[in-house]
Amino acid sequence: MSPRLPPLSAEVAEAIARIGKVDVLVGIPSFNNERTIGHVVRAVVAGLARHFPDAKAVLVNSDGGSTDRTRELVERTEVGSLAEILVDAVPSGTTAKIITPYRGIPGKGSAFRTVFRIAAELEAKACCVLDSDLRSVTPEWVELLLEPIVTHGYEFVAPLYARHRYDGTITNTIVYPLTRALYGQQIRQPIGGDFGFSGDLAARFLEFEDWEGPVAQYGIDIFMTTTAVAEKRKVAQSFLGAKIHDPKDPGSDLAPMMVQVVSTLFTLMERYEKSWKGVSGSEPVPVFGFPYAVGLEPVPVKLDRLLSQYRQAAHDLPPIWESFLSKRSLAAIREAAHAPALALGDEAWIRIVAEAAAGFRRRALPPATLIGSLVPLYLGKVATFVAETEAGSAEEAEIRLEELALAYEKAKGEIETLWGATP
Amino acid sequence: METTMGKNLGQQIALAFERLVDAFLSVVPAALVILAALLVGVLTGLLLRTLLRLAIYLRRRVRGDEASSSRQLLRAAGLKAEPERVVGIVSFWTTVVVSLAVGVNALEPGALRSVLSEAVGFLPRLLGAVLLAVVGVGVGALVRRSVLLGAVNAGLPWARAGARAAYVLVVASFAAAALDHLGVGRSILVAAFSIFGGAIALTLALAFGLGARDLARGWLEKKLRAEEEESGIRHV
Repeated sequence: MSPRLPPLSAEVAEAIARIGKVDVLVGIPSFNNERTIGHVVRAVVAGLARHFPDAKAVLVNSDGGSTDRTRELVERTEVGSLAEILVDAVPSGTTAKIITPYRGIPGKGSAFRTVFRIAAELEAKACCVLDSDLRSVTPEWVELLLEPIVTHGYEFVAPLYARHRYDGTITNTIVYPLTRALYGQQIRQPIGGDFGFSGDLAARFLEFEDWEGPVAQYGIDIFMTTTAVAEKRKVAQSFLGAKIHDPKDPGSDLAPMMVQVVSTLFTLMERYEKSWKGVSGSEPVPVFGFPYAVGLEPVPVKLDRLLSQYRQAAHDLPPIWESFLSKRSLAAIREAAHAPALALGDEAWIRIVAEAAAGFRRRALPPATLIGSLVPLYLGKVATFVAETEAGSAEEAEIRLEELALAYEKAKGEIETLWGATP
Repeated sequence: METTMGKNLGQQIALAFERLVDAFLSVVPAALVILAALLVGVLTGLLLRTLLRLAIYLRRRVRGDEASSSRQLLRAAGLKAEPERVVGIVSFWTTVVVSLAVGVNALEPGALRSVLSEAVGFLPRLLGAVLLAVVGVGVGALVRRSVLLGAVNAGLPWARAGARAAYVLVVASFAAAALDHLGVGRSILVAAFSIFGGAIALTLALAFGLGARDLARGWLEKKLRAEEEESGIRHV
C-alpha cells in the first residue's frame, strides 16, 4: 500500500512544474522565526552560489503558520553582493524558492514531510535541512551537508557540532549512546537538527506510515538518523562548528520534547528489531570538514534544582515506576536519592532506560506517562554528570561521555534480554 | 361443644396448610422458569465470553497487536487486567441479567412477578451505578497519575497531595453520579456539590483574582518559562 502523501497547494504544484528537476534542495522548516530566518536564508543562498554554482538548486521553506514576518522575510531576503561575501564566487542567477505552509499536526516533522514531498516531486539528487533559528549557520554548512552526497556517494550526513558539555544532554545520556549501542554506528549528534540526505532517502522517509505521532514533531530527527543507520545506508558526519540558536520556544518544554524523541526511539526499536539485535560494539562514522576548537557560550547549570526534582520524584513517583522498573532499579533510584551527593551510576541508568524500552514495548503504561516519568530520572543522571565533570576540562567531559557510551555497548546483551523478555 | 371447636380449629389449620402448600406449589413453576432462565443465561454468557475472548485472541495473533488501544486504556486507568478478561466479565454478567429479565417476563402475572420484576428492573440501574463507580475509579487513577507526574516534572512541592485531592474529587463526582443514578439522596447530593463547587470557585477567585494577583502572575509566568531556562541545561 502506498503511503498517503502530504497535500501540496496549487501554487506549489505550479512552482514544481515550472522548476522541473533539481540537483540540490535545501529545506528550512519555520514557525515565527523572523529574528533569525533572514540570516539562514542568506547563508543558504550564498552557500549554494559558492559551492554549487552549476547545480540547479531550490530553497524550500515549509512554514507552520507563522504570524510574524517569517515567510515575507524568506521571500524578500536578498544576499546582497555575493562577490563581497564569497570573495571568489561566481554567482549564476538567483536561487529558486518555494514557500509553503505545511499540512498536518504542528511540528518540525510535518514541515520536513512537505520538504520530502517537494524533493520527491523535483527529483532532487541531494537535499539538506537547516533549522530556522540558527545564528551560527554559514555558507559552508550547505557544502558540508550536501557535498558528501553529491560527490562522495553518501546517503545521509549527520551534523557534528562543537557543543558545551551541558548542551544537548538528552543526546548525551540517552539518544547518542543508545543509538550507538543498538545499531553500531557512532553518530555523535543523531538529533542535531541539520542533516544532509539523498533524494532516494527522502523518498524513503516519505514512505513512513505514521505522520500523526511524535515523528511529526521533535521525533523527526531521530527518525531520520535511525532509518538511515538501520537500513544500512552509507552515512557520514560533517563538522559544522558551533551551533548557536535562538532561545528555545517556551512552549516546547522538556517533558513533551523528551516524550516525542524517546518514544520515537523506542518505536523504531520495535520497527528495526532485526537490524539491531545481535549487533555488538560500534564503529566510527567518517567525518567531513575540519574540526576546530570553538569558544562556546557558557551553560550555567542550576544543580540544586536538578537534585531537588530528582529527589522529589524518588519520593513521589515509585507507584508509577513500579509498572515498568525492576525492584533493583527502584532500589538504585532510592539509594541515589538518599545519598549525600547524588550519584546515579551508569549501570543503574542504562538498566532504567532498557527497562523503560521494554515497558514501552509491552505497553506497561501509555507512552506519555512512561517516558514522562523518566524525566526526573534523566535530570538525576544529568546532575550526576554535572557533578562529575564541572571541575574538569571539556575533553574530560567528553571522555566521561565516551565511558557512558561504552557502558551502553557493554550492556547491549542485557538490553536485548530485557527487550526479549517482554511477553 | 369443645369437640366441635376442636374440629373447626383442626379444619382451619389444615386449610391454612393446604393454602400454604398450594402457594408453595404455585411458586414452583415460577422458580423453575427463573432457574431455567438463569441456567440459559449462564450458559449463553459462558459461550459469549469464550467467543469474544477467542475473537480478541485471534485478532491479536493476526495483527501481532501487542499494543492494543484497549489495553493502553486499561493501563491508563490503572487496571492491570487484560482487555479480554474485562470483556468476558462484562459480557457474562450482562447476558445473565438479560436472561433473568426475560425469565421474569415469562412468568404468570401475580404478586411474585411484580416483586421479581421490580428486583430485576432495578438490576440495570444497579449495574449502571456500579459501572459509573468503576469508571470513576479508573478516571480518578488516570487523573491522579497525570497530576502527580505533571506536578513532579514541574517541581511543585504539593505534587502528591494535589494528586490525591484530584483523585478524591473525581471519585467523589462519579460516586455522586452513581448514587444519583440509583435515586439515592438526590437533593442532598446536588446541594452538597453546589456548595462544594461554589466554595472552590470562590476561593480560587479570591486567592488569584484579588488576594494574590501579583503572586499568581509571578507563579504563572515562572511556570510558563521553559524548563531549560530554569535548570540552565540545554537538553537537545
